[in-house]
This record gives sequence, structure tokens and C-alpha cells, in this order.
Amino acid sequence: MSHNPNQKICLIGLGQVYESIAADLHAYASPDTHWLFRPIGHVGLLESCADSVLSSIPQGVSLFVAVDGIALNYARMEIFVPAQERGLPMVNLIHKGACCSPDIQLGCNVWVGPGAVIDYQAEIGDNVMINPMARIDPQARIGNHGWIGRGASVGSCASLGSNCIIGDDVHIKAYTSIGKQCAIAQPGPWSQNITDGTFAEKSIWAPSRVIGEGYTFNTSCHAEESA
Amino acid sequence: MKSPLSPKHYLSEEIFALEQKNIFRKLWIFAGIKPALAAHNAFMTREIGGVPVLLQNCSGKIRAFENLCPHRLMPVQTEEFGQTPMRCVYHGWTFNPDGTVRTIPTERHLYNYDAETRQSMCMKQFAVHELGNMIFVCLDDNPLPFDDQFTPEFQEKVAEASMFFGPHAIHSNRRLDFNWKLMFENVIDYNHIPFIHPKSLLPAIPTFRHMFNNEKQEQPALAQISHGPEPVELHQLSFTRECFIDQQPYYWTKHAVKHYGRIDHYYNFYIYPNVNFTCVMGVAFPIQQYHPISAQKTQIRLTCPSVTVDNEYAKRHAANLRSVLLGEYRVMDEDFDALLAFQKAVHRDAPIMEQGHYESDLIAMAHVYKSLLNA
Ligand code: FES
Ligand SMILES: [Fe+2]
Repeated sequence: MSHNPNQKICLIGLGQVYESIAADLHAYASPDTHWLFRPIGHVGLLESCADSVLSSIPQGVSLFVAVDGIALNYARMEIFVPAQERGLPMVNLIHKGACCSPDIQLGCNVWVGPGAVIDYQAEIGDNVMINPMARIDPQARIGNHGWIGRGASVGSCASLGSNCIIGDDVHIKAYTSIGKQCAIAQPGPWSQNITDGTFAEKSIWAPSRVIGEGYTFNTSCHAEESA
Repeated sequence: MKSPLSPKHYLSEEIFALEQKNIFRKLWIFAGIKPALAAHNAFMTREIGGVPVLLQNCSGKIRAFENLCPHRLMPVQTEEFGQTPMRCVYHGWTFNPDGTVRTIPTERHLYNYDAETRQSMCMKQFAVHELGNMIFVCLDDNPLPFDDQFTPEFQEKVAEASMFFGPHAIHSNRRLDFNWKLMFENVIDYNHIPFIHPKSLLPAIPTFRHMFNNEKQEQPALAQISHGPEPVELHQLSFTRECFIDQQPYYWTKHAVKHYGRIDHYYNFYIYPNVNFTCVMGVAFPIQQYHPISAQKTQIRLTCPSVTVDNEYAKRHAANLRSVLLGEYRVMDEDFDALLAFQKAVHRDAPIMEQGHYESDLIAMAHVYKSLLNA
């Protein structure tokens, strides 16, 4: 919860996170905070309107970008990254019903929904959405642009690369290491270490993975010659 | 019409062994996609016709080997995908791009091969054919001419569509308890769509909505393999079909730089014996392969290549391919339920299938299959 008395915050985006913040403003900032809203009609408009929306924000206003729905993490970046590149100030929105240990590290544009718990020395990157009732255990690390589903948990010392999607009620066990760009959407415990671009879904059964440049090989890597 | 196939063709391990020998170790089999191997030493391993196969990029050229070290028959590459030189993990032998043994650690002290043996030792190399971004392998010592298996027109279409693949793909393998032929027959039998996919596929495909509501509508005619009384040949079994689709494109694919064909079309490229390569709205290219494990077990190999996009965020996000994969499984799961039920129920003394006029393609295919089997 932000305690800056004359704070001005602009909420940009669409989807459930946007709606839930807009419906509960007092739970995120003091009552005298001045709120501005930039709702976006459709996820397909993000790219084309990013510049004009960001230019319309008055000096001294901090931003929070909330986009979810289809392609949630990547779509949110279409506003988040240009805002960051312009050096615009961004806030974290932590619901007053969430519980965060004082020694955690948070990037910017982090949402912590009601009932979520972030335990001691956890490290959360930029642009991470932590949904209601989720739990981040001691010393867990979550990379940038992550999505932690409702009721999900990340066990102590577990680490998640950037752009990971952890679905609702997924429980990543302590010390598990998850690469970047992974999606685990199979409710229940998960303790397997997985490499970049791995997907585990209830409806797929078998883990799937991204193959190609940057995942299973690197063009720039001069792998040791057999010659 | 009675089917040329009998229940034993879906049950018998002897027939499965014949298929492995006379179909999967004889014909050109789709093995993988080029974007998965687009750098020196990038490799993939898999099995074809019961043989462990290694595809390795050797200085830009994709080569196929039997993935067995001549020393103690260890697999040379042990991961499914990766990037490492060909070096056996067990005793460190390394290999030349032609599969011959390059170096043997402590060779002089420990092995003492005579010159002839030393020179003859190698991983067996297989024939490779690249068709656009699709890689085919033939395990036979005298590979069938590629043109005998696929017509030039068909080759051209597959090559053209596959050139739209982007640099990534999402790949998944899944094992199911039914015979591999059932799934290939199932994707050609369009008549199951209103019954098995009433909510998933039917609403998206006006061609079938109209067909099953007896409405006249201008639409591409469904291609067929057989048109007359002449016996069908192997190269006719791989063919294309197209129909309309009116689904909303996935959000991230709106950034596609180019799209294949018509954006309102759904294309099928049936690649005999076991691949259904599709193109959805010009931008999604799921490749389904029905890989035989045994008479009653199939590995579903699903590869969904990306498309080239011009949006920085979408480009970085191979994770978006997940939506294509989920869409594919949503439809395939409905097929799997039906085919698992078939496999459970069928037994050796079950009657022969009674096929109707619309199944002439399947009948023609079964005749070619039987002649391959008994060759
Ligand atoms: S088995 Fe490969 S080096 Fe010995
Ligand atoms: Fe189907």
C-alpha cells in the first residue's frame, strides 16, 4: 500500500487485473491519492495507441500498467516497455489485504492482489502480476513479466525465469528451477526443474517445449568443434 | 463396400513388424523441421521404424544417422533437442560429418584396432530430403525416388507453405493407446466432424456447417485421391484439401509479416503415411504426426511452428505459441476419445468395416497400404 499523500497514479490497460484495481482503489493507496484512468478498448489496440496514451500522461503522475486476457504477458509489455523506455515513473500496487515481508525486493509495475503473501527475502522482477491468494515463499525469485495465478504458490528458493506463467492453484515446490518463457497450468504440485520454453498443461498431459533459436541452440554460440 | 483392412490390421504385432519394415523403413518419413536445426551442431533425436535416428546440422548441412555409437552402441546424442558436437558420452569417441569415427581418446593404449577396422567404423548415414522447411528421412539403403512418393505439385505446395515458418516451434509428444492408422484415417474422414467436434471445429468451418445442413454454398470442393476405376498409386496418397474457416485470428498472429494462402482458409496437407500438416488462417502451421510405437500404441508428435512477426514483444514471445498448441489439443482430444474407444472394443474376430461411397479415399489408401505391406 502506497502512503505518499499527494500521489497521482494513472491506471492503464484492460482485463481482470485492471477491473479489480479500479473497483478497489482505496485498498491500494491513501484516500487522497489522485487517480487517472486510461482504459484501452481492445487488446489489439495496445500497440498502435501506446505512444499517444503515454504522451497524454501529465508530469508527476506515476503509472501502473494492467493488461491481461489472451497473450497476457506479452500484450502488457506493449505498454510497459515503451513506458519504461521513456523513463516514466511506475508504481507497484499492493492490496492492503496482501501481506509482504519488509525485506522483499520488488521491481516496478508489480501487482500484489488481495490475500497474496510474499515471504522474507523474496525477489520479484518488473511487471509481475501476483494474483489474489498467491503465495511467494522465502527467497523465491521471480523474473520480469511474470504471471502468478490465483491461489498459486512458489516455494522457498525456487526460481522462475522471465515471462513465466504459473496458472491458478499451481504449487511450485521449494528449490525448483523454471527457465524463462515457461507455462505451468496444471493445478497441483510441480517439482520438476524445466528448461526455457517448457509448457505443462492439464489439457496436454505431456510437457511441451519451445524449440529453435535461443531455446535448443544458439546461432551465435560457436559450439566446440568436433573437428 | 467392405474395407480392404480387417481388425488384425489394428491389432497384430506381426503386421506392425511388417509395417515397420516395409513402410517406415522403406518410405520417406517426415522427421522434423529446419528451424529446429538452424545452427551448426544443432541436433534432434527420434525414432523411425524402430531405429534411433539422429538429425544433426554439420556446418549448415542437415544429416541423418543411426544414433548408435559403433563402439558399444550407445546413443551418440542423448537429448531430444540440443546443440553439441557428435561425441559419444560413454568413452568420448567423436565423429566426422560423414559418420566415420574421427577421434578415439587413448586409442593407441587401449584399443589397438587394425587399420581396416578403424576405417570402417561409423554411424550409419541415411538419406535426407529437404522440402521447404520440412525434413524427410529414408532409412532404406536404396531410397525410393522422392518423386515416386510425392507428386511435384504436392511437393511445391508443401515447400511453399512451410517457408512461412518462423524461427521457433513448440513441440510436444504424447502416447496414446490406439493404432497409428486410425488417426491418419480419421483426419481424412471429414464426416466425423459434426459428431465428434460439434462445438470445437464445426462452428469454425462453414464448409462443413453447410455440407451437413444441406445448404448450397460456394466453397472449395473437397479434394479426393481417387477419381476413377484405375488403381491408386503411392504418390496419390499425399494430397491437399482446403476449406473456409471463420475463426478470429489469435491476437499475436495479427503481427504476422506475411501469411500463406488465404487468411479465411484452412489447408490440409496429408503426407502419407502419417502426417497431417495444416495451415490455419495463413499463420498457424500445426504438424501432427502419428508415430507408431506398437500395434496398439501411437506417439502423437505435435509441432507448431511460429510465423515471422514484426512486433518486438510478440517476436520475443515464443510462449504465444502455446495458444496454437492448446487449440490443437482441444480438437484432437475429442478424436482421441473416439479412437481409444475403438481400440478398446475391436478384437480379432470383429467384423470387417462397411465403408460408404464418401470413404473411397480410405479404401484406395488401404489397397496401397496392403500392397506396400506385402511387397
Ligand atoms: S560406446 Fe561410444 S565411445 Fe564407447
Ligand atoms: Fe477430428
